[in-house]
Amino acid sequence: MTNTRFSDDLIVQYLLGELSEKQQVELEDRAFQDPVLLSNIAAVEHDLIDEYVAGEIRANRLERFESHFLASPERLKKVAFAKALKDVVAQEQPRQPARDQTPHRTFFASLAAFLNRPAAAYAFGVAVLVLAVGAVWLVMNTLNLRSELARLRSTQDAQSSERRRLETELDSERKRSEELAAQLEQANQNQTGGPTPETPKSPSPIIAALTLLPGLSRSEGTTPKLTIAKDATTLRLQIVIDPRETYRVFSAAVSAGGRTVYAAPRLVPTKAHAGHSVYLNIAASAIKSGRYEVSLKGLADNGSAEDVGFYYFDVTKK
Amino acid sequence: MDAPRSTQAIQQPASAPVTTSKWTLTQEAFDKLLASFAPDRDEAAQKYLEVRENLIRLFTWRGCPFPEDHADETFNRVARKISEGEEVRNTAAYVIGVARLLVLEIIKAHAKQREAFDELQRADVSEDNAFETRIECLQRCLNELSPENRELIVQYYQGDKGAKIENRRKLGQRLGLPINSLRMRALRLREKLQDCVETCVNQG
Repeated sequence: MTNTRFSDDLIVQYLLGELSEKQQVELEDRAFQDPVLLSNIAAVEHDLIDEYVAGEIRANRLERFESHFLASPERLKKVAFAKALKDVVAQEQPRQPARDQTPHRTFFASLAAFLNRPAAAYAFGVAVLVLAVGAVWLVMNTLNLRSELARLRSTQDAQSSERRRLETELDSERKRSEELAAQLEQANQNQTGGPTPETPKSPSPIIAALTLLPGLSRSEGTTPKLTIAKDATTLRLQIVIDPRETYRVFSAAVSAGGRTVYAAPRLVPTKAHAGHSVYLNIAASAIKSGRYEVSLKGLADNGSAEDVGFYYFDVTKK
Repeated sequence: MDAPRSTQAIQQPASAPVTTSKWTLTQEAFDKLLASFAPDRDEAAQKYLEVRENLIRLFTWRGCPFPEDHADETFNRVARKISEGEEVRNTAAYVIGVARLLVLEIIKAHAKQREAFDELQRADVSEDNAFETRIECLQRCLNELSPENRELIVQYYQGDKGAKIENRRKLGQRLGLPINSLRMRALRLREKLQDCVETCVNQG
């Protein structure tokens, strides 16, 4: 027998003394050297005993079993143990098939088994503690952020409101400025001889107007005379420029008794019915009764000035 | 001297116990026996114990009634041969050979004694008071196992015939063990349980 593997059936034959001496020697010598075969012989021995206890040994082997196999008290003890094991196992609760048990292990059962380990339970506890601290920190941080956000929104609203207020004020100032400019322009246009200047709406300035033509002398008979009412606010003088003059820019000075009461350094003539004219708006409070002289100068490009005419008028102030 | 393979039985008076011998093992003879295993005494002792264990297995497998006594008798015979000047080249194999001869003696010499012994063997053990004690001890020893091992041993031995085979196959699948590995694991647990039960029974 040269097989390297000894089957369970062959081992049973050996244990029951059914093999030849040669076969027995070969198996024994192999078993002394091979721990696996040694374990297999022990396992077959137990299986044979269990079969005997269960009454499953064939009749032709039963005699050999009882006469040969059960020759020693040690084997009898093994039979007694096998009988006890059979009875105890039979008393156990009927169990479900092995394959049905594994799927019924729930997640919580697995978790409980895992947490039964001290190291795992400790690590799990630490993890829970860390999560709890982290959760508290997140909540506190969220509350702070919300409070800060509300404050910022409030500030933003206040700033928006302030901006709107300022824009409104700016708009109002712009409108006022435009209105004043329009009024001034209107007043200037009315002074050119067009339709009767509109009396300014109260409180409107009271204007005394006088037109001075070129070439008039200061003799008594030809000097224009102006009566200014007591409540007049402005003396508006229209100085008509000699058509032969080529200056584009003029300056004018109004004096009385050698004292200058008004000066206009740069005047641009505008076209009117009487010709090109420049206009002077003099506060009435600066004018007293008496004779006045208007000195008109033409301004050259190089900044030099040349007298182009003198105009005279008499004022009677009431 | 090679291990004797002869199957010729050594004739002994039928009334004389096979396991007894007129020759007495002395310390000097035992030292020579050990020295024949190996020059180093510790190594020799280890080999002696291994050979003795194999002798016990052999006598058990061969159906001899007192394996340990037969093993000691075997060593006695080998020690005697060595002390008488016989040169042995492979002591372990020689011892096994002597044991096999002794087996033949035992089988033949105790054939009649075995008939009476068989009567004892076929006694219904379940009626023995020791059986109830053994049951209690086994339950106690089972409870000393870990839950996993307890379930394994109970599951492994449940069922009859074909149901038992199928049950073991499913058990192996569930534990992720090949059937041979499961068998060995159950074997070790059973032997552990048996030792526990015998200790418990002997303690009363």
